[in-house]
Amino acid sequence: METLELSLWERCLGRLQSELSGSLFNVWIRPLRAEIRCQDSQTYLVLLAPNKFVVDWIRQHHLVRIVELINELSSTHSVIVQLEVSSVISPPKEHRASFQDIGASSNVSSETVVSNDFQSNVNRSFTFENFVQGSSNQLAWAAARQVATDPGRENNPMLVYGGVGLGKTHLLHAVGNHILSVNPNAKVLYLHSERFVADMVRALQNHTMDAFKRFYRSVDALLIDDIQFFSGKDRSQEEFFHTFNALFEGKQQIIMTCDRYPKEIKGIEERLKSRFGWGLTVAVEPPELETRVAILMQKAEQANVELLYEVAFFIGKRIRSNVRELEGALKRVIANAHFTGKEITLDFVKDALKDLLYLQDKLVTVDNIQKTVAEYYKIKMSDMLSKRRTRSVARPRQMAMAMAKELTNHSLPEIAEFFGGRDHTTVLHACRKIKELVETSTDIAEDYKNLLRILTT
Amino acid sequence: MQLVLDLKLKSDATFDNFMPGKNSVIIDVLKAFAQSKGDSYCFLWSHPGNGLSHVLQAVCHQATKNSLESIYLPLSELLVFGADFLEGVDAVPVVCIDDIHLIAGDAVWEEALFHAFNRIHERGHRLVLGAHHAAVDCGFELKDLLSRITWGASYSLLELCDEDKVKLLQQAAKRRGFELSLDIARYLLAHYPRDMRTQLSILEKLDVVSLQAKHKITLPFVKSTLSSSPSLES
Repeated sequence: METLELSLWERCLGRLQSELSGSLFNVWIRPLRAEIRCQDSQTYLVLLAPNKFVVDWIRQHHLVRIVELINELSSTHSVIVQLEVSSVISPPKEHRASFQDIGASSNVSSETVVSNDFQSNVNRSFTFENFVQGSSNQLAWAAARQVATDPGRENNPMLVYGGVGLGKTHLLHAVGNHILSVNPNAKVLYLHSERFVADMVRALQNHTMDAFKRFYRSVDALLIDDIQFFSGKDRSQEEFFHTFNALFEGKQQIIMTCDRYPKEIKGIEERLKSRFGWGLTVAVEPPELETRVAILMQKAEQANVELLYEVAFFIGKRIRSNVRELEGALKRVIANAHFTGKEITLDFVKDALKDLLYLQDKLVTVDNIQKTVAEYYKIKMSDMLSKRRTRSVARPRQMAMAMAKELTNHSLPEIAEFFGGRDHTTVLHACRKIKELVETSTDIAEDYKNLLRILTT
Repeated sequence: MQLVLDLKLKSDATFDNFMPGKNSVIIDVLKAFAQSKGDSYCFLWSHPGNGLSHVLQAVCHQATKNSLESIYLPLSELLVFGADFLEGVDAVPVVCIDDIHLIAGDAVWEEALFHAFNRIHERGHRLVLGAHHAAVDCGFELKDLLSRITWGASYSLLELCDEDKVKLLQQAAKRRGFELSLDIARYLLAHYPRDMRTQLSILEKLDVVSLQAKHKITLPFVKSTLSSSPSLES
């Protein structure tokens, strides 16, 4: 009977597909899953939608037609069509562990879920071995490695924070992969914080909170990305707080990433923030030139493309903000070379990336550098260009000159011109002085790093 | 009032009907993309009227030819439906989202696009995003979103040279069943906004007026029609 009714839905789908545009069908009808329920000798065709929004949409726009079609196609007996929000969504191509896939179905016991069906969703391509290290991320790499070797012990929880596109997610997966390489049966779950929120909302709607809790508390390692997205979501924070406590007490490893130092996140409860800092907190900084070049060389190798060092150096020097952007530029170079059949030379890259490089140049102007540095040191813009030599003004000015040399392609005389028509040897002196101070003074080193980050991200 | 959603692709928005000009590499990349070859994500940007919406729809047509389900989502038409609209899109193997610059500064939409990007990526599905500005110039406030957008190869769709614009106008006229002389094509380009969206819309309207008037499209006819109907160019 059930098979018969499901084939009824298949036929209904066929009709709807022919009536609606491909796009409409794909977005609204395709995600629906049909389920047959019989109660008091009445057959119900329950259409399960991934969220309430889809339910409302279908109800408003397509339900009348669906009912018409079902009536037409099931002429022998009556079938009542119902719409519901489902916690079970269609699995992606590659099976990935998630609460929806294996934890939320009410007819699956949690024991079955966690002991037999768990297949980790860690991305196998992100490992410690292919993580390019540099001074900007070495500490985070070493800490993550330590956690992976001895999960659930001293460094629990671990929190990696830093700007976007700097390799935080790579480190999460690398930890997961290492844990799995030592113990292939370990239940390692990677997820974005949004997934946790969405799962919880569905569990609440479907009254499956117990299954939700059991699922999340049963993992050996929870790798959760971008926790700043918990901001302002009080109910999710509450639930994550309890999950966190349960995992922590059970000595199950928790690793989180965040785009800023956790104390700086607004909209997250203090008690949660304080827990985030219980274990080990490490930062990743934007990669320096050497690391950017190494990343490019490695990505090219992974794509089986030979990249000359001078070409990698050129791209690395010009694109500074983050690894994703570097990768994007390299992908474009590779695609252009592939489709034009040309060799990847320096001239080729300059041509292939000319609009991108133009945008980069436009972003970092000497004017912008002067304004940013003046703001950072709380001096007036007029002081930046003045002849005053007091240290409180001269040092920021030297810093701005050094930044201009580092971040723009202007010549020294041009930079000198921007600073009130000075001599180019003044710029040269400033650059040498700042370089020396960065090596000897932690304060100046910190300022230099901060300004570089502000100006390039 | 009930909002009406029309997500149909323009039937003529295909690669065959697109004059690549200096954009041949981009077109090759996108054709491969629609066959599940090459990178699974790219970003396209262009000033209005260079054919961005056309190529995004062409990706969908091409994907269909290759038996891949696809969806074209012009945010200019979808904003009114709210950001929840993006929730289910990751179920479709090829997703093309147009006009993403329109959501810059809208925290809810920016976050929704960010999550949709992640879900599509996680599923191994394919995504092209389109905007009227380079990603860094769109004004996105969510840095996570901006970094996702710049992750793949990004291309700016370049304007056609005049010679190609003339050819394109003549081809479009041919599809409409009439010949457009070189003189008329050059006249249109010299006297009206040169972006192809405007030019093609003038052509379409000339076609309609000439059919109604049962008059052949000649230069004097074009001049008199356009001078008496200034609105034709908009």
